[in-house]
Amino acid sequence: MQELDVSTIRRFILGDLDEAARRAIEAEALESDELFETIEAVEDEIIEEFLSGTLPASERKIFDESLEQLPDRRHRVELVKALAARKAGEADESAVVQMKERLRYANHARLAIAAGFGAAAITAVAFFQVKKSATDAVPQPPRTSVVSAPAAPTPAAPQIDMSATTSSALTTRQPGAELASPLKSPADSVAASQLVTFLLSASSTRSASESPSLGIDRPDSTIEFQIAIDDNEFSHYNIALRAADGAPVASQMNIPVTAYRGAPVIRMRVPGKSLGSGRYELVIAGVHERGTVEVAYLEFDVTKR
Amino acid sequence: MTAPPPDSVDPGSSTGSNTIERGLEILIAGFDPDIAVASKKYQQLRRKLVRLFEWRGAWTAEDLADETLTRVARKLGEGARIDGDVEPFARGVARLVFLEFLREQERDNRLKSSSPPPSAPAVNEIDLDCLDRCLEKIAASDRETILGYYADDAAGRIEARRTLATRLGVSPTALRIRALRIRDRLETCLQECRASGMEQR
Repeated sequence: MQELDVSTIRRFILGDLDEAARRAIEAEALESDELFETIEAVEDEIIEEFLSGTLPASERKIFDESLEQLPDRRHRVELVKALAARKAGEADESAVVQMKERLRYANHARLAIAAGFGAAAITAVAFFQVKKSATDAVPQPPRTSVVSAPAAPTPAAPQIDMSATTSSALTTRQPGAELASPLKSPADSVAASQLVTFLLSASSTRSASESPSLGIDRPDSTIEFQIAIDDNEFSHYNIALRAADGAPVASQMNIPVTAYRGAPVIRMRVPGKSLGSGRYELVIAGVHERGTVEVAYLEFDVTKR
Repeated sequence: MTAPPPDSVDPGSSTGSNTIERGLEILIAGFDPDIAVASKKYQQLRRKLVRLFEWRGAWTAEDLADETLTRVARKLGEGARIDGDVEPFARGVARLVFLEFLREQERDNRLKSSSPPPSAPAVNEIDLDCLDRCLEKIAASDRETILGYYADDAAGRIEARRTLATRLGVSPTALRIRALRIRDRLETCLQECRASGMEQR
């Protein structure tokens, strides 16, 4: 039998060959382990293309329909997806570590990136609000501060090693007026201390003049970062908070999307005492269902009073 | 010298379970004197048949493969003469039975049944637990290989696999075959895990 090309094998797997050709391949595959393994490998390629969204539309339709018909194939697809997601989950953690290391060279990297991507512009808008807890010994009126950064050229976020790109979903959110109003955050669980809610949009802000600032009055404050996202295209998020020198401050994995006044946000809390005055960066990794990751960066300044 | 497989088989003939059992004994013994090796070869042939039926679009591929092997055993049990290795003979008979089966299925329209296939559970939390357990069962090197093989997204995967193959000292093709075999074992383990989970409920 002539050596089969990949295109013919793909058609065989997708049931798109005439009966004679199909039977010839079946007979050969039963005899030849090599051909059998080749067919399996090509099927594996199809599964991966299907999961990554790169399977051509005509083949995708056939393959999609076959999943309804073939439970074993469906299981195989799910297994590949689970294996890829599992590895991506492990990679998320290492990516955060890599990013922490990377920020040690942040200034050099920014210069290089700025040179390469000087034209890139990302608008950043951040909202800042402080809410005193209801049980505060000396009640003070809620303090609301809104910091709106003007649109300005900023360097594009560096990509992490696992093909991270800055997602439009992570960079384009312009929080509406409803998010600028005083927050009624879920502070009850930390009523014993002051809860400071710091509301940000998932936009990259890397210019010193643009960074929103967070004032912390009491050392026993709990800071809750609420990051508004544009839409919920990710299955979950991972966040790493680090100081300007790259030193890790806090990180949280598998953060679900929650709603604040109908708008999707993700939240992470850190003790106020873990922050000193200075610049910080949040690294926000959105993890797709299929395991791929997109990353956005948020810088802000902290002033301890 | 292996006797050529018969030109046709009569799938409808039935000479009782003793014939099938005797045929299975001949089949297994013919694969290899070592029962472990013979069993492995039998499973390989079965697996091929399952996949061939699956590529035909049969959602009962496993049942059809078993039925095919039963007919092979029956043929052997009926006294089909074999000169030489039983393995090529078994494959030859399996091929004929497979074709015979396809004709039957097409007649009966059973291959792609109009009735919906049984719903299969997606990989839910239970399955992921199973996956964890199955990954724990395989050798650490296999675990590293299979997770490394499916790591990265589509864009980075080619390079990642090249790096992995270099690290393991194998060719990209050998890596692919190794990964698929590990995945097959995981699939089998997952099936067993799911089945045991259902029994426990």
